[in-house]
Formats: sequence, structure tokens, C-alpha cells
Amino acid sequence: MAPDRQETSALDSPHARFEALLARHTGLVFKVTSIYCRDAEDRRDLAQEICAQLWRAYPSYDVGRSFSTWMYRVALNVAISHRRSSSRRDRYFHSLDDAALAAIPDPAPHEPDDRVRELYRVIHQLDDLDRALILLYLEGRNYRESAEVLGITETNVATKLNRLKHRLRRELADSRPDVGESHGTR
Amino acid sequence: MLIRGLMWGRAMELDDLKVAWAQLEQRVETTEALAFSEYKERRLDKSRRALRALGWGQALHCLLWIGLVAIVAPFWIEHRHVPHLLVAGLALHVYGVATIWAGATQLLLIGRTYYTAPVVIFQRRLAELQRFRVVSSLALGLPWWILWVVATVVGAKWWLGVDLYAQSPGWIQVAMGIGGAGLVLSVWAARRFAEVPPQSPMLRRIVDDLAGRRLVRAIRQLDEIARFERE
Repeated sequence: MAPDRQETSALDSPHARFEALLARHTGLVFKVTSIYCRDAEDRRDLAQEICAQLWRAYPSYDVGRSFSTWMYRVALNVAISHRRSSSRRDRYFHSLDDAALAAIPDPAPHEPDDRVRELYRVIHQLDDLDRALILLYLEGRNYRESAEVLGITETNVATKLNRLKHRLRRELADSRPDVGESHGTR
Repeated sequence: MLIRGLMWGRAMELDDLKVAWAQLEQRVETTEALAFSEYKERRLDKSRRALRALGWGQALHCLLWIGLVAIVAPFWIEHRHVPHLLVAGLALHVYGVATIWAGATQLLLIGRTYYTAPVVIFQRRLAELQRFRVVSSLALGLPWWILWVVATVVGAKWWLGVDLYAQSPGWIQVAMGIGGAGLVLSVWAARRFAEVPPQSPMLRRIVDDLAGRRLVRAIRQLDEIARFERE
């Protein structure tokens, strides 16, 4: 029996079982919010909305299937819909290009680690579905799992991921400060 | 020494992104756990129920128009020998049927849109629902510039026994002419002032609808999803 099912079968009420599963996978919710939201307050709102939708959808969860796959689908669907609603309200937050990105406040202004800042920067330049794909890649999901979450073929996942990786490599190379060019090699 | 994104003088690579991602995981688990506890305190009481509320709204709207059509159909049958009352009654009847069809279609589209579906499928269905809502809102909303006159004629005859058109055809024609002009003007104004959105969210939504912006956004989203689905 899978770990998720072992733990939850011991709990009495559906709500207790749901909260136990959610507590084990809380990191997933917050990582989804971090790639779709630019400020802390928005991330908290989105996290709560995701949790609420997960609870509402919980009766349809098949215990024989992977909870994380089910959870990814709900979390990503809520996050993308939330971002589209926010962009309709704000009218300024659509697909980002370099100029628009530069004009928006840094989502991690106090982030001491440049790698995490760079992570935010490259991910926030992607459109909604590409962000979902890169999230699954960074989470170490294989092609089959990613295809199941996204609803596309494994071949499509592989092709898109290769293109995304090429793009990200270019972004990361272009963002290298001048001091690096004189001291190191790529 | 300040740790920088450059490691040993080279640019960040994808593996560095994975390292940064792992660091982020530790960080969110420790600093953002507050949001989880807030959720547990607030539970589900304040959660938004946008799709469900939309479904209930459409169902009520359908029921209302089914009731109205049930009144309007016998009306134009009874007055089928009076041309202006026949035309008015038929216009309202056709409008009512169109409204019921649009509401039922939206209910079907809402019913097949659930968050547990694969991401691409859910987003496509949501965008299709959005596109349908925008088109039907415009198609069913704009005619009211003129339809209110028709509804007044039918209502006055049905309720008070007064034939407004027979008593004052000029007033009816002027009102419909003003309504037609208002329809054209409202679309022109929305397109003209679309770049300067009003403060009110409701007005902003109306302006976006009349200017075609929401429709363009819905179509753009569908294109984006179709591109993503293609290999």
C-alpha cells in the first residue's frame, strides 16, 4: 500500500484524512504559488484558494491513484486561472517581455541568494503552461507523470522540455554579469 | 564572500536552477507555513466559488426566462391578427429562447469544467466557457437598447390592456431610434475609451466587453493552449 494510503486509512473523518495528505504535500502548494505569484500577499491568497479547491475536489479523489498527480492538476489549474483573473483586473500583468519585467518590482527584493533570484527571473518570463512544465521538471517528475498532469503526450512533454531548457540556458547565459566574462569560462 | 549566481566564473546552468529550487523548497516550508495555518483557521468559509456561483446564476436566469416565454408565447398567439403585437411578441419569444439556450449551454460548459482535469484540458474548457460567455453577453445584451421598448409594449398590453403602439406609434418609433443610436454609440465609446479603464470593476468589464477585449483575450488563450498541445 502506498505511503499516502497507509497514513490516511488510519484517520477517521474525510477532513482529517484530507488534512493529513495536505500536510505531507504543503510544499507543493507553496512552490506552485511561488512561480505564479509575484508578491507574498498574492501567494498567501492563492495558497488558500488552492487548499479550498483541493478540499472541494477531495470527494472525487481516487485513493488508488497518485495523490501528488491529482494535487498538481488542481493546484496548477487554480494558479493559472487565478493569474489570468489577476491580469484581467490589473490590465498590466500579461505575458512578460523584458521591458515589462524590468518595470515590475522584484518578487524577491530581499532574496540574498542570487541563484534563487535568477530562478524567479527566468521562470516569471515564461507563459502559464510553460511554467507548469518547468515546475514539474524542477520537481523531478518524469515524462509520464508530467504528461498525466498536463494532459499532453509524453513525446510532447519531451519536445517542449528540450526547447524550454535551450531557452533557459540562453536566458541564463545572457544574464551573466560582465565581471564573469573576464574571469571565467562558460 | 558573497555567494553569487556565477559559480567559478561561469553562468548559471540548469542544474544550478535545480539547486536553487531545492533551496526554495526549504525556505517556503519554514517561512510560508503561516499561510497553511491561516487556511486551517479560516477553513473553507471564505473560499471563492466562482464557477459554482456562475452555475447557480445561469440556472436561475434560465428558469426566469422559461417563465417569461410561457407568458409571451400565448400572448403573440392571442394577438396574431394585430401585426405590431405579433411582431413584438415574437421578438420577445425568440429572444427568450435564445437566452434559455445560451444559459443551458453555459451550464453544460460549466459542468464539464472541473479542477481535477489535466491542466491543458481544464484551461481549454475554461477558455471556451469564457469565449462563449463573452459572445453571448454581447449578443443578448446589446439588443436591450431596443428590446426594452418591445418589452414595454408587450407588458403594457398583457398587464394593463393598453396598446401603447396603437395609442402613440411616434413615441415607440422615436424610442427605438434612440435605442439604435445608443447601441452604436455605446460600442463606439467603449472602443474609443478602452485604453482609459473606469475605476468601477463592473464598468470596466462592460467596456472590455463592448470593445471586444475580453473576446480577444479568450481567443488568445485558446490559441496559446492549442500551440502548447501541438508537438
